[in-house]
Amino acid sequence: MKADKIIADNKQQRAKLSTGNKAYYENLTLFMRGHGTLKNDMVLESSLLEILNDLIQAQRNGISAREYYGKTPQAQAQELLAAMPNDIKGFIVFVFGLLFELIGMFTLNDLVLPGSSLDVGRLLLQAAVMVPFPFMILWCVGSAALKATGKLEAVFNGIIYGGIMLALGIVMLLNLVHTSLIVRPADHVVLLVAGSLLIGGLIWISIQRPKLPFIFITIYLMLQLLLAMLYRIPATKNIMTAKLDLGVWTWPLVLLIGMLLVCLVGLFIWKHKK
Amino acid sequence: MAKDNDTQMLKGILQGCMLFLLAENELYGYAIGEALSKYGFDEIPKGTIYPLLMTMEKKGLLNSRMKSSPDGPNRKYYSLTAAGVVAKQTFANQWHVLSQSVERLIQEENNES
Repeated sequence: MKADKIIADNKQQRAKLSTGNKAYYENLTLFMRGHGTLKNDMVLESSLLEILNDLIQAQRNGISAREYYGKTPQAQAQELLAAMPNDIKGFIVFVFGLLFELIGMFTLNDLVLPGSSLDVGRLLLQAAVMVPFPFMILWCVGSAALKATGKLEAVFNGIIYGGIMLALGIVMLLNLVHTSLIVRPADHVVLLVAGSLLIGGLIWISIQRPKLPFIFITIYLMLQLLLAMLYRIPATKNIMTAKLDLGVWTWPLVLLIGMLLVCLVGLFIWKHKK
Repeated sequence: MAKDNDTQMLKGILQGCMLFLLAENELYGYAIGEALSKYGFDEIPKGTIYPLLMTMEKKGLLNSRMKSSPDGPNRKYYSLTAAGVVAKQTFANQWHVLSQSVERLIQEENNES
């Protein structure tokens, strides 16, 4: 059985828990996953499912998750993590995968406009700087999950939001860095690559059906690919580069479109959560 | 430090008890917890069992396999390996010597007072 299948089983089984027990277990899960990035996925997820099945049985016998698993879940979870084997090879593969994904994301950003050049040195630097952030944020999310006191939870939440802002800030600042490793891809090459990625991406979406927040990242990347193509297809190139001057209405219109987009995203998240 | 020693001692004892329980029957996490409670270990949070099971499996004392349980989804059942049987006997001998020594000490203390 693959880790994904175990996670899907876990989600299905979790629905059997009462609200209080579910909150306890979900916090435990967040802690274990947040602190277990070095651990073998299969072992970690199998253990979480094993505990879940036992919590469901305990609930059936009138025992709460807290009574069963313990009043100090963090201590037990840390011990369980310590007993699990590390998967350094899997972790390295994951880090490199993440690095290439980030390079891809930043490259797309730079490829939208025709005739654009790619500063490979800067892209590598941006991606390398960004790699530790998801792990740090995941660690903080896990740490915040089992903190009984509101103060500590607030501190960790602050670190999480601060971390996200810091990561975005660093990426923007690194846009100012210029290296000599410049590549200028021909427009037809970009068109071919963007087209293939767009088709591949659409197939991927229809098969995988990504959930929040990945759906937004995917849509953002798809839109960038579409823009990169539209800028290079002769039939649409003129429309894309045509000067649009709405005079005093430019900014109100931009704001209106922005607000509409925010509302749409909000509506999507609200519906998804409902 | 004292608390650490207590925890280590408790873990050692729990591990020994689990070896005995699993020598009798193939059991899964919850069932081990219930069996331990039956023998007076009801105050121990059952979250303690899972790291011990994993460590014992890693040491080669236990085997595990997924098997359908009487009530619900497939469960991970644990059983003793040959090394586990040896470890169980070693624990029994150590516990016998230890408990006799402690008992003698307490007895003498009681006699003096």
